[in-house]
Amino acid sequence: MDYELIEDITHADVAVRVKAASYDELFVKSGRALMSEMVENPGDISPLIFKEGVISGDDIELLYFEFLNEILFFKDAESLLLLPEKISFAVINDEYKCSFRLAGEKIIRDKHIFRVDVKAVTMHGLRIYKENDLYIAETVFDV
Amino acid sequence: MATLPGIIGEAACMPDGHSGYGFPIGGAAAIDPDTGIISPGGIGFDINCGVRLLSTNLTYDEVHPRMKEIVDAFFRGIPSGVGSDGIISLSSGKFDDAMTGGVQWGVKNGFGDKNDIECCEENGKIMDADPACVSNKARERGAHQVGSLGSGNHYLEIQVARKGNIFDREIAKLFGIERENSIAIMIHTGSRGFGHQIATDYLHSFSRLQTKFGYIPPDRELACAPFHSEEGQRYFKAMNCAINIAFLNRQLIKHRVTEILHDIFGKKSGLRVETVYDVCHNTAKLEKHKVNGNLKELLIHRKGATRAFPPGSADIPEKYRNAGQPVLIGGSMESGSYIMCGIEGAKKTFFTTVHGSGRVMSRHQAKSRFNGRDLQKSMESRGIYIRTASYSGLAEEAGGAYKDVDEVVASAEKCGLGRIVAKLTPLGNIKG
Repeated sequence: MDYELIEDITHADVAVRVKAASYDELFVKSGRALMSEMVENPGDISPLIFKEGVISGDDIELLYFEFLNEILFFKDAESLLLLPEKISFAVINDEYKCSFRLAGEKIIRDKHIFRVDVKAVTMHGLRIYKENDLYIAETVFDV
Repeated sequence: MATLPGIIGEAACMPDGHSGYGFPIGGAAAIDPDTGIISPGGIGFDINCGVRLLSTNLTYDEVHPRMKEIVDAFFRGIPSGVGSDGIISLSSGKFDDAMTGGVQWGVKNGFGDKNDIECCEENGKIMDADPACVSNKARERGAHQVGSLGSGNHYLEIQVARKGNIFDREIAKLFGIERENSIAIMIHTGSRGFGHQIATDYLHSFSRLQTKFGYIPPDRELACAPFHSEEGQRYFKAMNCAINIAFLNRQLIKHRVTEILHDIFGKKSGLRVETVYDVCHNTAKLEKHKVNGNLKELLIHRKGATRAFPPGSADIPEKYRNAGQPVLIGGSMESGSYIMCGIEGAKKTFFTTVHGSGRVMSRHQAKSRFNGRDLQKSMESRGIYIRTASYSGLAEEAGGAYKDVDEVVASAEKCGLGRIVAKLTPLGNIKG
C-alpha cells in the first residue's frame, strides 16, 4: 500500500496520508490511494479507456480536491474505474494548474472486487505540506 | 459548528454522535437566516440520506420460511453497490421535473400512491428547488442512478416486531406495526452521486469565497455563504433538488419492493405494503421555532440527525398529529432498529434527535476485526439472511463497529429527545 491510513480523524469515513517526491507524483499516488480504498484489486484495472483534462485552482489544496473529484465523477457518470497515468503540474501567474491523463475501464462486477463507494473527497483537515524533501497530502474520503 | 455565523442557542450533538468532517455525524445547528450562513459541511455530501419504513400485513410465520427467496429477489431487483444504475434512467427534461417534484413526480408517473406523498417529510417534495442551480456534472452523475441503494451503510432490511418489543401499542398500531410478529421493511439511502456532486460543487465554490464573505471557518469543510447571498441561495436551491431526488430514490425502491412482494405472495389476497414515514438525515431546512418566546424562521442544519416534531405539529401527517412525528432509528444490521415518536422535550435541540447507532470503530478497525464471509455465515445462524455486493463492505458494517442501539435510544429518551415506540429486529438484509 503506497499510502498510510490515519485512524484518529473520523470513524465513518477514511483518512489517508500520501507522501511523494514531487507534486506530480503526489497526485498520481493519491489517485491510486482513492481507487485502492474503493477496489480491492486496483492492479486488475486494465488501461482501455483514457480521459484527459486540465484543471486549475487558487491553491494547491483546491487543485488536489478537484483532481480527485474528477476520478469520482467518471466513476458515477460513466461507470469508469480510472487510475492516474500522467500528471503535469505547473504554477502560472499564481494559479495552480494540472493536466492529467487517467486510464482505466468500465466497471465489471465479476472482475473488480469492491470495498466501498467513496462518495466525495472532503476538505476536512485537507493539508498539503512539505517535510524534508517529501510532499505530503492528508485528506478524508467520505464513504 | 458552534462558531458558525448566525448560530442560535447551542450547537447540538446527538447520543449517536461520532467524529465526522465539518459537523460531527449527529450534529445539529440552528442558524438565523437573516444574519447567518448555509454550509454544505453542516449537511453532508449525501444530501437527504434518510430512512423510509414500510409496514406490511405479512407475518413472521409467512415470511420466515421464504426468507432466502425474498432476500434473493430483493438483491436481484433492487440495484445496489458501486456503479449500479437505478431503476429508471431519466432524460434531461424529466430529471428536471423530478428535481422539483420528488415523490410527487414519482406518484404522478405511476410509482406510488397518495399515502406515499402524505407520509414523507415535506410531503416528499421540498419547495425552493431550482434545477438551474444544478451543474451539468451533477446531472451526469445522478440521472441514471435514481432508484438504487448505493453502498457503505446503505441497506434494505426486512424486520420483525418480536414479542415484547412493542412498547406503546397504540402508537405502534398507528405507525403500521399492528401486532407482534408484524413484518416491516426499512430502506436507508440518499441522493446518490447527484447529491454528492452538488455538495462538492458548492463546497469548492464557497471555499474560494470565504475572504469575500469575511469569515474564515476553523475547518475548510465548513466553508459557507451568507444564506441570503446569491451564492447561498443557489446552493440552497440546488440542495433542495437533491432532497427531492433522494425522496424519489426511496420512493422508487419502495415501489420495486411492493412489486417483488406481490410476485412472491401473489396468492395472499389483500397484501398491503405502505409507507409509514420517510425521514431525512442530511438537510438544511427552513423551520419555525420559538426563540425567547417568539416564533422565528430558522435554518436548521442537521447532519446525521433526524427531525422529530412533537404532537400537534402542522408539519406532520394529520393521522400522526396526536402521536408526534414517527422517528426511524436505523441500527446496525445485527442489532435492530427502533421507532420513536417526537415529543415536546426536543425543543432544546430544535426538535432534532438520533438517526442510528453511531460508529465506535473506524472502517479499517472493523475490517481487521471482522471477516465479511464469516460474518454472513454467523448472522445466518442467528436468523439474519444477508446478501451483499461487497464482503469487505459487510465487515465494515458489523454490529460490533457500532454503539449499542438499545443504549443510544434509551439515552435519547432520557434526554427528552423522543419516546420509544417499538424495536424492530432484522431477519434479512441487502447491502450495497
